[in-house]
Amino acid sequence: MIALDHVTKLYGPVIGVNDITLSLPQGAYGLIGPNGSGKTTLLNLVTGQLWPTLGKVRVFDAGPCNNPAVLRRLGVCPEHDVLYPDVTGLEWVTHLMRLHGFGRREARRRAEATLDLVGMAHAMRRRMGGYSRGMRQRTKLAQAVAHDPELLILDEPLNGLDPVGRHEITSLLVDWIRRGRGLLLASHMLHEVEAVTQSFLLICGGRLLASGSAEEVHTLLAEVPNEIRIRTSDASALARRLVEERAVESVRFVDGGETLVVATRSPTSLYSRLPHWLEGTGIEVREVRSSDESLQALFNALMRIHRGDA
Amino acid sequence: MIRATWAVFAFECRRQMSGWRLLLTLALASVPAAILWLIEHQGGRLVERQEAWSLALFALVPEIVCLLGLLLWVTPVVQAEVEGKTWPYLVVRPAGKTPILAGKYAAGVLWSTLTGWAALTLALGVLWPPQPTPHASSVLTAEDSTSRVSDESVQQILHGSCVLAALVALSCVSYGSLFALLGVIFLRRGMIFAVAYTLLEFIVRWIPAMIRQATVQYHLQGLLVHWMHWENPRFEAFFGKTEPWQHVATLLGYAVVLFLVAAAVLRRRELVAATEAAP
Repeated sequence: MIALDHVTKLYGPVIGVNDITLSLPQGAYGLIGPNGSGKTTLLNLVTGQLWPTLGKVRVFDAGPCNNPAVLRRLGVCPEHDVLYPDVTGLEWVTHLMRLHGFGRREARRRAEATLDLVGMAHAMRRRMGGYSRGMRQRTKLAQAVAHDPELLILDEPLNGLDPVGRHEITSLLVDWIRRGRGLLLASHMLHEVEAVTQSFLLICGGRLLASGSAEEVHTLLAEVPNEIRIRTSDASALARRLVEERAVESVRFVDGGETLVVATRSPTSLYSRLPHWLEGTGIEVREVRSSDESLQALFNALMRIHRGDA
Repeated sequence: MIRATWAVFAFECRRQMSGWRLLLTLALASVPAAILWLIEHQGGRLVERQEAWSLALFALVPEIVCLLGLLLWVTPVVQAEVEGKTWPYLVVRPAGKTPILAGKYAAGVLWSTLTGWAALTLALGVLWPPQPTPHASSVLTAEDSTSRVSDESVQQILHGSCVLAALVALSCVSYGSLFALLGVIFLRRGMIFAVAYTLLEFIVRWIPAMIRQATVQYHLQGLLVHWMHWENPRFEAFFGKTEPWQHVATLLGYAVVLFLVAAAVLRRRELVAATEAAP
């Protein structure tokens, strides 16, 4: 389905994608990486919007750049959701279907059916300027699937959706995969991708750091310290307790000593045992957060593994 | 390809029909009429001399109004999509980039042409009703001069307006391709380069050398002189013996060649939104 052969993309002196080689047979894949890791560049290379500086990109055994035969088989949903404010969702999707070669009636029929499918039936005749972020995401998804492509390429498709919307779109994607269609889903949230597919590609700093099933990736990630921020009434007492329990790799204080940042190789275990450790201590935990920074930390660690430093 | 081009053209026409755009068009189209009214108000008596008002309208409409319209509506066609981050949705379609450019170019040129024609109509409204020319009224008797000379002036104005209307369309088509090319090459500075080129052309057209024959202005002026039937040795010395059809063919040739170059450049360009330019 997709084959990259030593693909490098340079933006002047900046490396967008660094010597990536991979071969993806028909199936569903999650492309995971922190913001700025090169996911969008990789997707742009696959969709033919960018040419590789070095190496070759093949999609359905052909180069995707300016290739109608390949583009006809792709459905692309870019990250940006800045759409035409004065145009209705129905008009926009119909227009894009017409660029796929469908006649006016067929384009409109497909646009209506797909907008209905993504839950936009009630708002498809409204101008997109008045759409919420979730509605724009749904409309974007509709334009990507309305021509029934063989491979769907989505860049952060769940951004801005509420939990119900996430569930609906996730179900739609799971159904898409069940029908035997290809999917490449880029996200910086591991659990988002995990809900859709069990095959991952981990990318950071423009490099493909790891790939494999969810289990393999979890095993890999288990070796990497995960950073958690805990805001508490007594940070030093909690830090002492965590160190006594040998539950953390490192501890540091931020926000004037109010917040504790701990690194752990087993975050799930820490989350489940934390209430037990706090029992009777009088320590009050106000917030526990695993931010995006922790994902960045994970990827930094993977980079070190990749370079052979760890 | 044709179907996709038509789809883009129709979509753009519908999208551009906004109150803001109509207001801007009206403002732009009113400029020549306002200037002519001021000249007439100051006792310019332009209407009495066909050559004078034709030249004034030529300078104001096909040169200024049309070029401003094209600057606004043709030069940024690709840049607006890239900056608006809507380009990736268009460019991943099998129709490719050329129909997008062609449809947007056609919509921009049509809108600029309509603006030019509107400007012409408003300006002619200022010149209306036609007045007897001093030459004719001195020849005819006072009694019947008014009606006969008015007929002559009406014919002159109608003929002049038809010529100018044709020049508006030719100006928009040929300059449109040029501006589209500049907009594709210099994505973010397209309008600046288009203005710079226009100013350069205004200077070059007065240079008595072969280079001026390469300008769009030269051919538009040549057509104006021919179609207005202005018999003047100075004009002949300036434009030589070039036939009108040669001027028209050159202008249309420019339009086609420049558009094809723009399409070829666009096909080879990697255009992604600014935030994606580097990870």
